[in-house]
Amino acid sequence: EEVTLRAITFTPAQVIYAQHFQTFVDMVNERGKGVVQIQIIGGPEAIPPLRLGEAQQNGVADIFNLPAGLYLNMVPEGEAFSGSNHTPMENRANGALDYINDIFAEKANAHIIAHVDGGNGFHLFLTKKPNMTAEGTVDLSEFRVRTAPLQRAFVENLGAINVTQSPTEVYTSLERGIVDGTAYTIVGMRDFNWDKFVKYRVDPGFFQTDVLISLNLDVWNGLSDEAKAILNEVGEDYEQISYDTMAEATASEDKALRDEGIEVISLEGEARQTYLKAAYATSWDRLKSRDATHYDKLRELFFTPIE
Amino acid sequence: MDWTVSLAILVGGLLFAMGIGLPVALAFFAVNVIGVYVFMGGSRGIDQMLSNATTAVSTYSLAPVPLFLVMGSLFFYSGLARRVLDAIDLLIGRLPGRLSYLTVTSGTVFAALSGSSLANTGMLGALMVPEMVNRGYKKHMALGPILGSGGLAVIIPPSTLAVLLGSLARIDIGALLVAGLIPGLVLAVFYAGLIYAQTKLDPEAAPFYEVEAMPLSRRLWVFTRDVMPMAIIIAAVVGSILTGIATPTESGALGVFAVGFLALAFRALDWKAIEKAVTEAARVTGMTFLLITASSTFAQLLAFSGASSGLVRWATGMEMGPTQMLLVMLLILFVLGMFMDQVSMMLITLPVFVPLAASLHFDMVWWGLIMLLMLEVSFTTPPFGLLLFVMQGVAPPGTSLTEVARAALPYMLCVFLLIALLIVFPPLATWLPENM
Amino acid sequence: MSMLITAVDLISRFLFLLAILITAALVFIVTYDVGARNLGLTPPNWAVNTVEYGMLHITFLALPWLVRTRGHVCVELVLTYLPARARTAWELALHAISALICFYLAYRSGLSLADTIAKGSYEVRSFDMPMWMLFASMPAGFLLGGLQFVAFPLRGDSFFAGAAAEKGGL
Ligand code: NA
Ligand code: NA
Repeated sequence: EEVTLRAITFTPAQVIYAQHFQTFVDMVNERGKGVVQIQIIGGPEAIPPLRLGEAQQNGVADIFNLPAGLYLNMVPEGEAFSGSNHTPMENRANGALDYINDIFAEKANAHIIAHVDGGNGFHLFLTKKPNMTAEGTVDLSEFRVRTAPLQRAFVENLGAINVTQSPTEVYTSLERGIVDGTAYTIVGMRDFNWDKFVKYRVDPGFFQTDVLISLNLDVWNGLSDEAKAILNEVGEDYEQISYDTMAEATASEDKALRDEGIEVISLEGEARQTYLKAAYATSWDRLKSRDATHYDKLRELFFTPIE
Repeated sequence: MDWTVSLAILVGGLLFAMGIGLPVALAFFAVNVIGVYVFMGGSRGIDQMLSNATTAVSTYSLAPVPLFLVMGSLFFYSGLARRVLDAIDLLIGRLPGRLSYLTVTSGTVFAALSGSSLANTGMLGALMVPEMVNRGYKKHMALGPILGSGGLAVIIPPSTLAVLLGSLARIDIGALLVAGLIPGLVLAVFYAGLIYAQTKLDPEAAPFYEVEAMPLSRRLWVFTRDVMPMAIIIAAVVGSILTGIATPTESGALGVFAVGFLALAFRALDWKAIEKAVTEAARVTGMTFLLITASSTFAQLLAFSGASSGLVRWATGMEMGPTQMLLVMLLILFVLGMFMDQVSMMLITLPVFVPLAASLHFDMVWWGLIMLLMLEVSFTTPPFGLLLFVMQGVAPPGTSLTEVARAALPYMLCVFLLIALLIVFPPLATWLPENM
Repeated sequence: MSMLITAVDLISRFLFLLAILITAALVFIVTYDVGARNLGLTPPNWAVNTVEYGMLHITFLALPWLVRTRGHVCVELVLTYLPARARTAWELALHAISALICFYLAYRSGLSLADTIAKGSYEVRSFDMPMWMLFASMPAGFLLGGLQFVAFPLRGDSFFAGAAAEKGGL
């Protein structure tokens, strides 16, 4: 008998992540005819993003398009996804996904079927030119940078004053010079129109977006083997597809931003490694400080040390 | 369950619970509890609802509400408001309804400072209403201009709602903000015309009283002594925003200190005034935030049950021409606006509206501005109109909701007139952004 | 009985006093945040989120005293058209329903509070906030609010009477 899963997304329907999720849903609905179907019932207007982890745990809905970073309170280990310097496909192949799935099952009553939109890193976007340090990395003292909690510690290590703001405030803040920059993905800069004020971008990017497709564990366990197989199969295919689409979107946005005259400050050689090392360290240290039980194993599976 | 049934249960239940006279916030909660049982699967749904409720007002974008309320009440209770209004009375002289005009003018100025309608209304309400009622103004002459100009905050930049609309609908945010400027001023002029008509029709509404005739030198002195120093407040609030010292969200706090400083300079600051001001601000904040908490969980339930998206898809699924389609969109916003807040409305409608508007080849900046105006209207449409509640909270005791809503009505009609004007003459919105 | 009512009033007043203090604190925290940022000092990383949580608590701490002082808005449509006798009965029923809603929400949010304490869960914004701190004021606010609705008829007064006397004719 055909089951219909009710899905919730963490962004409004017209944002790229929800649109990508729609593609996944279409694929499942195509391949799962007669077995499993997905119906999207809403986004942040239905459940506030900060409470999606709970909704998944309760089973208020069945399947979720939901970043691990939104429920680190439940599963601090979820930070391994954003702190990973592997592709999601690599993490699937080397057993990292299976390993962390046990943790998600225990702590969040959830089962992850895919880490989607991977490889999409964060960059510093600045309105004025930063000085360079003796080691060749950027010196952000005298800078006020808006960050999400995830990037905060790193940006502070670079000397910047961290400013916490919701994305809707950033436009006015960049315009008026309340902040001198923000850390964000390349995709999305133009949607928020922040590109109007930003003049410089620092490469390389660090971390990656941690958007998962996951189900309430009871719902997952209650599915037929056939339904599970279809979801797993589409999940695996879609992980790669969304990785590629995201890379294409990033490339075209990158070109658009460069065409607008945004200058890329690219760190090379040792400076680049130092920069990346510092960035990833803040993420992994935080994971460890919250719950060290699985730290070593997760780090081994999700992360290749930077030399 | 079909969306019509969900919609009927939720909206019907709410109208019933409000209609029998339950406090509005509790009416929402009662329907939420029942709705959660039906749509979210019983007990776990209640936990989810209460957990969702903790996120409703714990968002920084609401910070201007308490901040500007403290600022407005301090201005009033320290006696500064009386001093300034006395001076303005003397200066403007015999113009009937002068305080109503003054309210629209200061409302427009504050709209250009703050991005929050709630904060605007709260502050102006605390500032102007008690004084105006003291001076014998009928309530609608005091409440109306504030409700009207409270909404101006949404279209005159800066505007949080415009930024959110721009990023959700992929409209050039800068253009959208700039586009609101001329229509905002036109609207302010409409408001002034409305006050003129109201005082003509009913001279008693804003009682005329004799003010002493004064030589010019004396007027200049009064202006310098009592009005000029207010520039300090303007400088603290506007100046801090323009120079990048503070965001519009934060500027209210600096405004509080500016008012405090000024009151101190005029020897008008005492503990009693401070205590009263903060108490008043806490009272109105508590009342408003409980309503926001209750109504936002209701809006989530409308979305979760499929009721709101069903309504939107049904109405927009009809085959119609561009203008009719635009009117359908406005009608949907109007209906939803009777029951929910602006952010929820945007999240629910935009996924359907944006592609629709694009397929009809609307100028997106023009269209976005019209959407914003309609969102502005929903602030004052009963039964759920946040500005109505805030206004009732700061109005003199004994002011009924019906009274407040009635005062808002003509101002709402002004907005409709402006929308009509924009449909007939789009350059009103598009000219400025295209030529900047 | 009257002693109990006095106690309820006292606690309600105390909760409202906390709401007032939080409101005042918001002004200082935001100013401190703006000041530190502009003076090039490290702005407090707790400022924004503390303001957010402060606003959450104002909501529920002010609730009971707002009931006591008739500060919650109502649509007084039906009440004004009822004859006096029916109106009295109707108001009594409204007190009962309002109190029940408040008690139910107090009970359920109390369970949530107990659950968050037991689990030790927290919320991640700029800093990690224990989840029970988010729920702390909700059960108290609803419980005292409900008691205030009960107290009105016991005092021979009515929450909805304000509407009758002052608002009726308007
Ligand atoms: Na504004
Ligand atoms: Na409304």
